[in-house]
Amino acid sequence: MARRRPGTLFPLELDILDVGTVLQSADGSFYGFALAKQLAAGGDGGLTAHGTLYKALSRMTEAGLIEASWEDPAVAEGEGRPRRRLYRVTGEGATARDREHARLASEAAATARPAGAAWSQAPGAIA
Amino acid sequence: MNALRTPQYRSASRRVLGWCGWYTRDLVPEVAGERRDEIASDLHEHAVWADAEGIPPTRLRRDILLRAVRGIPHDLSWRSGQLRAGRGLDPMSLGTRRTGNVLTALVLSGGVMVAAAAVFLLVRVVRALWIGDVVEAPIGAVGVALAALLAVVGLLLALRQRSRWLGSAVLAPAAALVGLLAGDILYRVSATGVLLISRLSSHGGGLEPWWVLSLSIGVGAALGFIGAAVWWWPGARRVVGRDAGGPARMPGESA
Repeated sequence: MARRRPGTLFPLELDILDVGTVLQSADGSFYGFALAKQLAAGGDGGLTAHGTLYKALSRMTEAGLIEASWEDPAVAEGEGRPRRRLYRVTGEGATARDREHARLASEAAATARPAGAAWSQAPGAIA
Repeated sequence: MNALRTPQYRSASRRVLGWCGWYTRDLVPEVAGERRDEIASDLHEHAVWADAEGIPPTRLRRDILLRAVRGIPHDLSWRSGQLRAGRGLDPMSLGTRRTGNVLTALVLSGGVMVAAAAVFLLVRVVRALWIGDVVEAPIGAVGVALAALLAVVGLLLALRQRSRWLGSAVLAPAAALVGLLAGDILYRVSATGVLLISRLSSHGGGLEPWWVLSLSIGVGAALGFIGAAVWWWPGARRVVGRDAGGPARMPGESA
């Protein structure tokens, strides 16, 4: 298992927060398979494995990044399907998502800067 | 075509829920049940989506199983996390289940030994009659035949968890009968038995030691079987097991 650097999110956790926020803005909440579907659409096309997805959701719920509640059984029964576990990105989750994006952006900038600096200082370089 | 009704989907979801039942065993019912319900919902949504996308049942089956297999390391890691967080069953229940497992092993092996001993005695009686060592079957042979029958029936009943208490109860008289009659039968039909019994008897006082020994073993085993039957008596004890989250429901069937 990959180890998390302190104060950072796993790539899957960031994806869940990103996609979850989009789904939540449309439907008010999101559930596991809807998330897997959207993650697959934005990624390599494969649906996230059950264990990977639900372990991440469980961990994020415990960390307070998302909150979970069970759907009203009457709604599920009315639609003839098992009830869904509904998730919402919390304020803490939104903050962690924004912080992670900022961190990734600054890392990307830091990686790009030396190459750019080297190019600008090369002999004969156009200023 | 409704993917939820296809045998491919049903077999795949049964396997996934079976796996889920396995890795949520020993977890508190609430945690285990929530994981099971969430997976059941996912499987249902997956099938409905596959239907809408026109994905054939064979591919749906493969996709579901692949998702389950790829997630196995995370399932196991999640399980360890839950156990570390103290969301496993309480030690008393685990102890109860372990005792039940040990008892099952003892009863089944004891039952096999009783059946084997009874059959062995019967074979010796038949052989002695066949070669003319004895002119008529010892009177205890009927009891040994009955013990063999009881032992086989008891063993068969003990194989199923639901009827284990009854199997154990049936094995008790079989063990007592074998213990009661073994010495007498062997004394009459076996030369080795005669030697052994005579040697044991030569050290004894008023009681025949071989008979006491044989009867003690038989009665001891019978008491053990009775104790096991009481342990498994219907309604005496409920161990929360792998079905902690409730009965398995096919995700195709609405809640």
